[in-house]
Amino acid sequence: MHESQSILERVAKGDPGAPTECIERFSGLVWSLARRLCASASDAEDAVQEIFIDVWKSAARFDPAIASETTFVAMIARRRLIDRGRRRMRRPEVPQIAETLADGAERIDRSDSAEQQGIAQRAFAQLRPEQQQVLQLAIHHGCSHEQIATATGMPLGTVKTHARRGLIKIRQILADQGVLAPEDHPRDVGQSQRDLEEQGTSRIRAKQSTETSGTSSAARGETLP
Amino acid sequence: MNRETNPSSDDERGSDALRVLDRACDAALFGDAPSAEDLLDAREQGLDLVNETELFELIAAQLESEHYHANRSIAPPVPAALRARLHQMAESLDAAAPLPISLATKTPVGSRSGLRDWLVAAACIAFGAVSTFVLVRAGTQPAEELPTDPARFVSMYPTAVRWPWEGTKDSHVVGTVRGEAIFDPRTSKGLLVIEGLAANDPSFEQYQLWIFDASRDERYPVDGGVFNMPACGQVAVPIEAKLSVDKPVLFAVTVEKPGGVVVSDRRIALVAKP
Repeated sequence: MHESQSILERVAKGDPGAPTECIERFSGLVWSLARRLCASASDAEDAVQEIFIDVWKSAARFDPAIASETTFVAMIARRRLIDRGRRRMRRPEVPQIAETLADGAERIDRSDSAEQQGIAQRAFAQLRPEQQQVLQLAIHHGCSHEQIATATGMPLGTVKTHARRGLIKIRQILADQGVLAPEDHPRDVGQSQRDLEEQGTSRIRAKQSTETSGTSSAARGETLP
Repeated sequence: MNRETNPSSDDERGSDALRVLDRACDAALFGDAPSAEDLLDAREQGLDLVNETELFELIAAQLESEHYHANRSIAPPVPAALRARLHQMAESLDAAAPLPISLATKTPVGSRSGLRDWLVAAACIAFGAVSTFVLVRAGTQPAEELPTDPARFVSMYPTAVRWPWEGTKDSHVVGTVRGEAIFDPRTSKGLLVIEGLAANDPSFEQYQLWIFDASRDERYPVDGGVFNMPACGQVAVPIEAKLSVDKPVLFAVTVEKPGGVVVSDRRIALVAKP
């Protein structure tokens, strides 16, 4: 009956059972994110509850043509977790960052397949090591500019530059691969305004379905079956 | 301007465009909310900073989800107690479905109660908010005397400008944003009609209006006062700027601590411009 509709579409329509399905499917991802970005387990538990409320109330804004459900949920989760971190100013301490960075690097190394790491991870792997380091701390550990500077010993301005150039580079690579629509592609970091205007500034149109990108389900960021 | 004969200008504009992308990256990675000036800068560059930010947010989210799936076998399990609470929330939502989008706001910090309790709390807050939604920084004439009906307001103040609200990607924007900022520069009186913002807990945060005036330094917008959003999801707020605003160019609504702030940290939820 609901085969053609995503969980989020059904949540938006008030389909009974869809919120429970949503929890079953995405709680692992959300909890993993919250646990990494919150200072304590109890803070993470509160955050997860807030995130699911956010997800449910934002479900009507989900567009499968723009991103997968998993990416949409991860985006909302990141927003909420970043908001909480900034509001409470209780980000993880620097010593913890160094520990988690080591853990994270080890975990990535254990992944033996580029396919498993996915399309964005493959783009990430093409970045300069210092850009990878800064983005890993920013994205996977929720560190602020200042915390990254402290953890890495880089000047604050350098941290900002690596973060920005790294993310823009990933966008460029994904666009080159056809994952992003051409108009979303910042071909050259130093390009002119006219170039940007020619590309347009419309929303991401990540071609994340198997049909359009040919990536595996893991690469598309889909959840466990 | 002729691009071919003015390469230095090209470089300058390219640099401006790059700065917009930098702002979008900062917002996506670190939650650095763009300022109204950033939004205006982007607009002058022909860019939409909100869309640019969302694109980078999606890339970061894609990296997160891929990281999770690559390592899910060693990901920490969801605690049983948390899972039970989430299911309780889902069941409460089912019972109340569809979720009234105007009631959608955050769970009180530290709350472990279910969604039903939270909805009741939100409704109570909303009743309190209805009677106090008029902006607190009214001028000589009590703001309550200003009409709350847009048509009537415009008939009384025919020189008023009317600009539609646009929502940002802030989590306080729920559903479709509707409404307009109506403002008469001759009298500095106006009316905000807003739909699509989350109900707020006034003891925790309030919405604050800022008016950017072309005749003033853009770094110092005029404080338009604070207001609350009721659970019904719609509000009509008469305003009367404390300072004269001769040439309004943009209205912004930010999320601030109760009572508002003198200097905003620029968490912008809505903007209205020509």
